[in-house]
Amino acid sequence: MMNQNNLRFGFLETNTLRYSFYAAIAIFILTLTGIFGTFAQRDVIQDTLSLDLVALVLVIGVPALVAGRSSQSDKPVITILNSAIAGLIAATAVILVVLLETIVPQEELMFVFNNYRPIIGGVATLGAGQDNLIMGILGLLALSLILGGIVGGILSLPQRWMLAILSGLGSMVIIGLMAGQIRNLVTPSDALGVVGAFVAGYGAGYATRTIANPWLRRLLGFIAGGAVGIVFLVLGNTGAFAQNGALLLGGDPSIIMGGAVNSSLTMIIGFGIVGLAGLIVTSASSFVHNSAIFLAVVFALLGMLNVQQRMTVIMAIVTFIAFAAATIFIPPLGTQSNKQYRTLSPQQKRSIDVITGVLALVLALVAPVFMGQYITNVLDLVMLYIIMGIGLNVMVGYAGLLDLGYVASFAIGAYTSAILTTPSIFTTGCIPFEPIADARYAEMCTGILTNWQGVGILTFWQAWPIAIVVSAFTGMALGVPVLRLRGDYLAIVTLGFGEMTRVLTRAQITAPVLGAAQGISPVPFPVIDLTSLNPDWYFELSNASTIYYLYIFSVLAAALVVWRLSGSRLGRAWRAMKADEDVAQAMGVPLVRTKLLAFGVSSAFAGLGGAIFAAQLRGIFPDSFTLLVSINVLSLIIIGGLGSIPGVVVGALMLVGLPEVLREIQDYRLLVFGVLLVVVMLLKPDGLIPPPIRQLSKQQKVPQSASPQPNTQ
Amino acid sequence: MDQPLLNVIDVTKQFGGLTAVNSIDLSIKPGLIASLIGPNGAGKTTFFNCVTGFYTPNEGKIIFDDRPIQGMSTDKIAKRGIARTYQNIRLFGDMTVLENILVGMHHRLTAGMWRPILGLDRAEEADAITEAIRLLEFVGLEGQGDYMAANLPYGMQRRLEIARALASKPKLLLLDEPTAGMNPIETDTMMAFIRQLRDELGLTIFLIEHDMKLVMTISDQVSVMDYGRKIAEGTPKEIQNDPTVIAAYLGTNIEDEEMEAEA
Ligand SMILES: Nc1ncnc2c1ncn2[C@@H]1O[C@H](COP(=O)(O)OP(=O)(O)OP(=O)(O)O)[C@@H](O)[C@H]1O
Ligand SMILES: [Mg+2]
Repeated sequence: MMNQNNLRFGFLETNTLRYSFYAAIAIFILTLTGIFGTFAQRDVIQDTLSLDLVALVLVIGVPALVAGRSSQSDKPVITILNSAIAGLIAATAVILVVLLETIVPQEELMFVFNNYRPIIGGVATLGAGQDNLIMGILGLLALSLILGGIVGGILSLPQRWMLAILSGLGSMVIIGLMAGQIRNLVTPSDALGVVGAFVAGYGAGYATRTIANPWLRRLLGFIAGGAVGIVFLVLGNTGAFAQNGALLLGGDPSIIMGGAVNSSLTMIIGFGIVGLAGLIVTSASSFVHNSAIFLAVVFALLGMLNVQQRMTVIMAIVTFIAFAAATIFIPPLGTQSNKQYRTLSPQQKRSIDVITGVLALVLALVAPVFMGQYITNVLDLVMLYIIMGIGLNVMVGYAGLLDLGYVASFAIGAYTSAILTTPSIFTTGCIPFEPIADARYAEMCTGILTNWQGVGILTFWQAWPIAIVVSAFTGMALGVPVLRLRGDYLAIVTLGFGEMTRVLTRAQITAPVLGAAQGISPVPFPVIDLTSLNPDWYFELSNASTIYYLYIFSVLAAALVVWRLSGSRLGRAWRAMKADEDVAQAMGVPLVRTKLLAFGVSSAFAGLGGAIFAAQLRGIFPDSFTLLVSINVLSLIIIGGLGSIPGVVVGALMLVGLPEVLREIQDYRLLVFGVLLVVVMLLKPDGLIPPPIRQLSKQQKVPQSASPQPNTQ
Repeated sequence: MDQPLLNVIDVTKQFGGLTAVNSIDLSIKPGLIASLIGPNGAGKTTFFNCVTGFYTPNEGKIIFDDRPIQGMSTDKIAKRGIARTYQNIRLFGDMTVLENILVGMHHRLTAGMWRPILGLDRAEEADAITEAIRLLEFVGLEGQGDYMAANLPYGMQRRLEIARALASKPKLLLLDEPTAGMNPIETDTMMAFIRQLRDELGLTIFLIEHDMKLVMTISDQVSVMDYGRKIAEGTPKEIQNDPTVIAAYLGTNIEDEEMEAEA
């Protein structure tokens, strides 16, 4: 697709020139906005590799990668040469800034580009200062040629090796940057124990391949994992782990060490479940199999990081090797397990699916215990964006209606829920933020506002569905005037809706209800009060780890609803409308109804997310509802793959999770978005995980055969 | 006498100053294969677009199944029982073959938004898929159901477009140049297939075609358009021998001949 106009002059291809020219512009801007200076303070590998060097390698390597990929030749030499040239051109952009710095005084540069940091003497000149600048520049040019050539060489390797190297390097950088936040997540003994139990279960899966009864095999997997648990328990009791931390699975470490039966039992069961998981994945679909093993690898690495406490050189090497090896060796194993899975009878497949589902759910539920507040907070945000991404996908991915004002629905959900749960003129008859002139009235209001609980204010659980419905209906109402608009026009008008919402939330006329710039606070947190059943059952969802459950429930519900809709009559109507509106209508699809349903469903999910968001922040402010939210959601569904639910997850992790974790990127967020969008669109025009093709002919009703199904797993 | 299934009375469609369809009267009895022929730009496709609701005629009436349909939206007309194919194939390219057909069934299925969410549309879906697969077999696309429509070879795309139209169980099927771009062998297969549609499904078929051999072989009734007007109508035999039709196709017209005569 991208090779359409690719001409060749000698070995040089026009694509190489085109892409490196784009890259050069981006790099020029990145350099002028001080990317190298900002990143210089941050180490990826302790005292060995700093982030600015990584940035340098990336700005040279990525153009080289794109150029090499688009090279049409199957001769490695040509690919390598084109990559090297692309690297050289990219480096030239950096050198231009270096030269600029020699001519223009620093203060003047910094006056124009506020973020500019001097780059001479830094990584951009390979450490060379003013006096041996020529050497630095020549060095950078040489480096870019070599680096580009290496990238070209990697591209010429077999696909799997190439992926292995890239995933090894990528995970090394990411784990390196996150090291500070994740170093205490998993104790080494936990890592060893859990991975050990998983491997034991996995081994049991292979050893018992010939056993026909699936439940017997599952029991054996459970026992294998449990046995590892017992070994660890015994070791723990002898004090072997006293140094490096306790086994978290059993709860309070001192109790395990003390050998309390109750906790030991919990721990053994926990390990047994991990063993069961190891066994199940040996005959699950390759996706389940591969993700489970990758997770185990991450778990092991986290344990090691806990010992090292920093991204040391050894840690970096181990990370690289672990991920590269995993990328090479896991997929073939996955193919095998997939083959197993495919030969199963429908009932058995179902039973495996149900068990994997339950195990994944258990994992998701215990995850906050391992992840700690910080990572959980990030995940909450990621899940908020997953919910919105799933919702916006209905509009953009399925119905093909480009909506740039999605933040409006988000804001409406958040404000509705906040208004209904917080004292305001609506719920109390009093204006919370205005001093009240009338003395009698003021006294009453002060009374109400200080004891506002129980003054006809709704709980979160009552307000939540209302917020969803209000969002859905406002979405539909906003849809009415734009029914006839398509493409760019629709985008512009919805953009306007988004901005209008934000302006309205700030405006003075709405202030009594919406609180203008102060917003609405304090929004109470959701409470689950089951004290009538059991006096202990009173839960406040007041922090990241508890709100997490609200989010994860919503993500699952959203994914299920949209997955079902997308394969239904309505979903097909949406997609047909996206492909060709006129023909869809001529086939009997009523456009008005179908479009309004897309608006409504899509907005409902934004409202659902918005209500949780308000409760999580304990207050809402107009500044949370900027155009950037719409752009974020749209970008992440495009990068993930329009219309793809797993794509939304990957997109949200990349565009929301990563910047949140890699604080340095925050300032460059939009630039990184832009570059990422361009690169993904060039390399994978359908997004990272395009939506699956629904194999409907396999769903046809097959008459049930009378003979019993063979019992294999 | 049978009532006509489609009765077009004095329909005119103008684009600015251009009168693409000029007071056309035309009626088709149920169970017939009727053809519409004429030189390029005569207004045939525009006429189809008027019948199917893509355009609202400036004047005139279109009666289908005893009820007026002019000015109705295309989805309502589709519901009444008119389905069509397009001169340049217009499939839903990034949907599978089966999904294309299922969209054709849209107005015959009933699930709205809530039933799928609650998983209550499974029985209806399963039946629809079974029917769609049968339809695929009927048009000779068995086993192709899970391919992307855009990836099918050209001839298959034409058949899929017809299958999608059939999925709505129409009474009247409009085919706009069904053999365009086909070689003689494919054209013969298509001709047999169109006959089969009428004979086995009892459909009434109205088609635009440039392939005279096909038109003259399978039509019960042929109408000829030129410059937006209907210039002739009759059985294939009558049309073949009609001097106005021959003149229209040879590109001469009476004025030219008169000028020549004067000279
Ligand atoms: N939407 C439109 N706007 C303006 N003019 C149009 C439009 N559609 C068709 N026309 C004009 O109307 C005339 C009739 O076009 P039409 O497509 O109906 O011809 P046709 O008989 O189907 O020709 P062909 O055999 O080439 O398909 C042409 O001159 C065409 O340019
Ligand atoms: Mg035409």
